[in-house]
Amino acid sequence: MRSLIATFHVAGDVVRAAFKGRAMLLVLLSITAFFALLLSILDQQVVDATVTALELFEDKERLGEILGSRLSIVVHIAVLSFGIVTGSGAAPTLLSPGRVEAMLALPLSRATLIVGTYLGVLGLAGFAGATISAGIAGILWWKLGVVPLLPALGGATALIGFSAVYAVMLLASTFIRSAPLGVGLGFAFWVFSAAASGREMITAAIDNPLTARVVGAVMAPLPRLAHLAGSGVFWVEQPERLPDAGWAAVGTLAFAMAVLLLAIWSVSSRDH
Amino acid sequence: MRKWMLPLAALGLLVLAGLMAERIGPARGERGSAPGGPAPEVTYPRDRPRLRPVRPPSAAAAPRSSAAPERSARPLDRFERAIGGGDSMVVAEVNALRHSPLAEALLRCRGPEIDEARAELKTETGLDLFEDVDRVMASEGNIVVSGNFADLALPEDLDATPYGDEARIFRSQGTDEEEGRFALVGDDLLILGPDPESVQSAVDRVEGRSPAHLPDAILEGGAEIFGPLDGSLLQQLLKDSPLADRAEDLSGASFRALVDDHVAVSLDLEAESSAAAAELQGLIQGGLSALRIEAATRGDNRWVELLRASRVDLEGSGLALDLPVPGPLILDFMGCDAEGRPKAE
Repeated sequence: MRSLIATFHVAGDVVRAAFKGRAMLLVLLSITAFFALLLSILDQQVVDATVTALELFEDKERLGEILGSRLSIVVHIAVLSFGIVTGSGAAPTLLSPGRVEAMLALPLSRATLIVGTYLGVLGLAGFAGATISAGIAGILWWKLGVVPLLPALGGATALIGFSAVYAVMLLASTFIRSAPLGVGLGFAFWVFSAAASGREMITAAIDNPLTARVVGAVMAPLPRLAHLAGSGVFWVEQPERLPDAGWAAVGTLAFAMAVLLLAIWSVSSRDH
Repeated sequence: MRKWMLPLAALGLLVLAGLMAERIGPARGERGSAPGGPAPEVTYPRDRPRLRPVRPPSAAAAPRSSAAPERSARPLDRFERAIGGGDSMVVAEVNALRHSPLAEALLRCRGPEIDEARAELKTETGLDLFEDVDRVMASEGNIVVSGNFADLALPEDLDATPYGDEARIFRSQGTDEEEGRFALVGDDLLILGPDPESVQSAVDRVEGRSPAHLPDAILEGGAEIFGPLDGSLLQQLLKDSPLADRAEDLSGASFRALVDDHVAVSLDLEAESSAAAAELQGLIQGGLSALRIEAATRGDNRWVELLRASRVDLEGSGLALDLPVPGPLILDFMGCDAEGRPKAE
């Protein structure tokens, strides 16, 4: 119980540090800019098209769903990007020489430190997800009079995806403490995991059966991030694929836990 | 908690993550096509031991004496003697094909229609297509059918002219067009030809009055459907395919197909040059890769593995091609499902 409280203290520290730093300011500015852009787009083209569509179909709910499903992808991408950028600094700062010794002088285990950092950064991404989803819902309600809930799904799936991406970044930071490296690795892993959604197509393209098998085995546990990103669209247009998104989510969380355990092991076996 | 438990637990979770991801269906949402199932074993005609001895290399170099007109190392049977020479021909072992698992599945599915046509042929000609026909050869000239034609009921207005030892050449009365169109040699050979001369010379070959020269592809056999194809025929066949531009580089081919649950095709292509063969190889490999990706998109992993079992090897200035054609694909084309039931329309 005490270690749980300590974990949340560390997480709180990470969030507080982030709000003090410039990174979070950058994120908030970016989110604002993103909303402004969305507003300007809605002002001109989409509203006209929407009004026409409404007259044609007279189905506001459906329109909200379709628009919401597309925006859920936008939210997904935005939250993951913001998560990678804001989260990149936390672990290297925390694990920097001096700082980590000071922390470990407190009655904290290394595992607490890692899990706390992890949860703190995830909390930041969750904040970004909630802000962006709510902002988009608000803008659509103001402009079109519909409240789409699917952007929130985009935010939620982004958070699940980010749990894996950040676990990889955290594991890397136990070896090399560098925020830029974390950002690069985060984006690279994101692209690689999104590609893993097309694993069958990738292995099919390989001529050599042995190579295909090895590539397939390496890609097997990777999170299927493209399936997660598409869950909003599945919801509206391909409900039969929703279970796929569900399995992708469960698999992603299992992968994230595995990498987090490796990060704890890596820190514990090191002499700080 | 011991430290080594952490990586072990991590490994377990990774395996779990992989298993979860395996449950994700194919991209286009088509399920039930047994993803991940092992591909069936394919035996290509090329890999099968040759059933008939091939002409020894020395025989080609040795001067041909009039006493040994056949180029083969073994005596030809009556059917083979009737075939004669030619650059393009196809031999089908009809009886073997009829009893292949694929044909059985087709019969289960399309049985009523096939039985109807079969019964109609039986009442009209006395010929049971499934029981009485053994082998069929079709070339640009003649068609030769071997089997049991003792019960063959010929129309009464046909004139039978004895020819040679035991042959009868038929022509229908009054029409020149049909004259000498086909011959029955004994009870086991039916020879159809475009003109009386070609039928007569085939009968002469069967009865040993003239020598028979067979292309190597026919001598080697070892498949259920086989034969040589010459360059011009290949170009015609490939006219509408993606290989049309490359077809003029092909000077000939030999074709062998085995039929069991699937069809396995071995194709030996002769190209004008090794550069042309290499170019063709790249083109075919690229096409196969595209087919595999397309199959993976449909979630049909068996097809992917089956296509991966195909081989495209350079051999001298030619290509040795081994291609599988899955039985379910053929059944699907005929409107049947994989178990041989008619598909719901």
